[in-house]
Amino acid sequence: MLTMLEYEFMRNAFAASAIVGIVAGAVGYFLVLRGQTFAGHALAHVGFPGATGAALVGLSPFFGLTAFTLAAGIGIGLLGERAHRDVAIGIVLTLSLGLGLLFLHFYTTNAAQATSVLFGNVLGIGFRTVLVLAAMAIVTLAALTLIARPLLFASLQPELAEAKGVNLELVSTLFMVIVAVATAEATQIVGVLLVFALMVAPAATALHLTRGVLAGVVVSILIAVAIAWASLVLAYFTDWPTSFFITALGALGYLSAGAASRLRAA
Amino acid sequence: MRPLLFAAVMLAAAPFLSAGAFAADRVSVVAAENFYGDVARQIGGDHVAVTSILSNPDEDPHLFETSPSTARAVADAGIVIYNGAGYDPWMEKLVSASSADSRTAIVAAALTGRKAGDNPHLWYDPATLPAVARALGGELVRRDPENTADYEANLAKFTLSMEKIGKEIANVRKAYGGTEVTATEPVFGYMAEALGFKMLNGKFQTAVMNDAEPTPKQVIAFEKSLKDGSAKILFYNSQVTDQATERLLGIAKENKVSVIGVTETMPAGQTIQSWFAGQIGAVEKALAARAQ
Repeated sequence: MLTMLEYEFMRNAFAASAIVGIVAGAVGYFLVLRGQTFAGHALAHVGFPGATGAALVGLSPFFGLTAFTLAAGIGIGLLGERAHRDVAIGIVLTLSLGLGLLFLHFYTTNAAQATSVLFGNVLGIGFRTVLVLAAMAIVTLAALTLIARPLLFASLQPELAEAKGVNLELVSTLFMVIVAVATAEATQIVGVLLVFALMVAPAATALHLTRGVLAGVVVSILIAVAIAWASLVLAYFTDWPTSFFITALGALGYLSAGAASRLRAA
Repeated sequence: MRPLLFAAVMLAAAPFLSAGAFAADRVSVVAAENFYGDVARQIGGDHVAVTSILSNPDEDPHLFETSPSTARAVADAGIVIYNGAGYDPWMEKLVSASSADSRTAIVAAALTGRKAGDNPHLWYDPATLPAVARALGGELVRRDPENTADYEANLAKFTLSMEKIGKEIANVRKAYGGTEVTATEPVFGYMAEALGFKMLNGKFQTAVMNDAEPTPKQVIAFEKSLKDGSAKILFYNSQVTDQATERLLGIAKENKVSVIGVTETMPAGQTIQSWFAGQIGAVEKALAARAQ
């Protein structure tokens, strides 16, 4: 069991997935609370045209990925609580995937240097990347703490919040910017699937299990980190992909929490 | 029977052994792709333990996802060999995830002066594998000077056998240089170039390689080259076939274009020499049959 910690790549993987788990658990809680999981999903994917487009004009694919995700985050945030929001997001999502394909079409050479940005690998993380990840987590969590109060107010009682002078559009946009940064940075390190799975399932499970907001955020973070670590251990011993275990444990947690709360209600 | 038994015991015990248990006995070499692993096997002989990560010719190397055992093998390796030029970016990540001063990386792209964006199927360039073999030979001598004579003899033997293949390539080039050929993917590109062929439909191939769709114009040009007899051979990647490829193969066969399947990784039970010789032989046979 402990032999796996002799490997630097496993130590880095545990550290990185804990950091991503903390950010994803906290950001995901608000995302699920606000019913914006689809927006999160879309943000995780708009990086594709960003990465391929940037490499095409000679910029760093990572820069393009971040720029596109940020722009999409601001766009989705400005949509606010409007009806048909999901339709608009869906159209932007498909448009961006289409744009990505168009950019790939213009490549006259191998596009691997652009597309490899999109597929992170939790087992291939260097120690320096762990430090970058930690710095980005601190910024994200600090920003989230700053807007937590108005964000919560705007999420739970939008009409009242607006009447009390909370700028719903501004709060919603700032929140989506936070989600965008968290997704863009974490995607290229651990992959789209992992970020998104860690953002939704733990938060949804926590919402089932807890009442208060603070308790909810803490439980969501704990579940996310527990799932990420358990998945690494399971992957190490079975040699199956880590992403599979993260998604499977996430689904299992959510289903059992749902069943438990139903039993309690009955 | 003995070595087999030993291997079985080692295989069963592998999960319980910690990092670097064999380091003292044999130099552990991890190759990202099995043809580089075969170079290591031929140069190192019994003095090296070789692990090839991509060796199943039936799996698409582009869709490969690294597993913990792969990461472990790289972490424990003394020498890693990989292609570079954007072909195996996961290998670079795995190497950076386990910092070890004692590990040497031999990168084919660096040895041949190619960079990201170039056609990444470098091993089909006849100069690549001998260059990798020389770099590996030098590194093995440095690490294990006791067996210098073995390494040098193996390197000489390998170089000679590759020179033989080089002669076969020159023969085909002399007889059929300038022949127009086409391919569904740029896998065989460097070898076709070495054989002196003129490759048609390059843009179509790039699009397929990048998982972008070829445009209608590119498809029309491709089909035209098969139908009007300009392309004499259609090379296809027999590890990655889909409906679009099947369709083109059908058109090629209808129009008496020779169809030759090439593989991205080395098929099981082959060596580099037999693999290359087989493919060059198939090309020669197809062209000779057309000449009659």
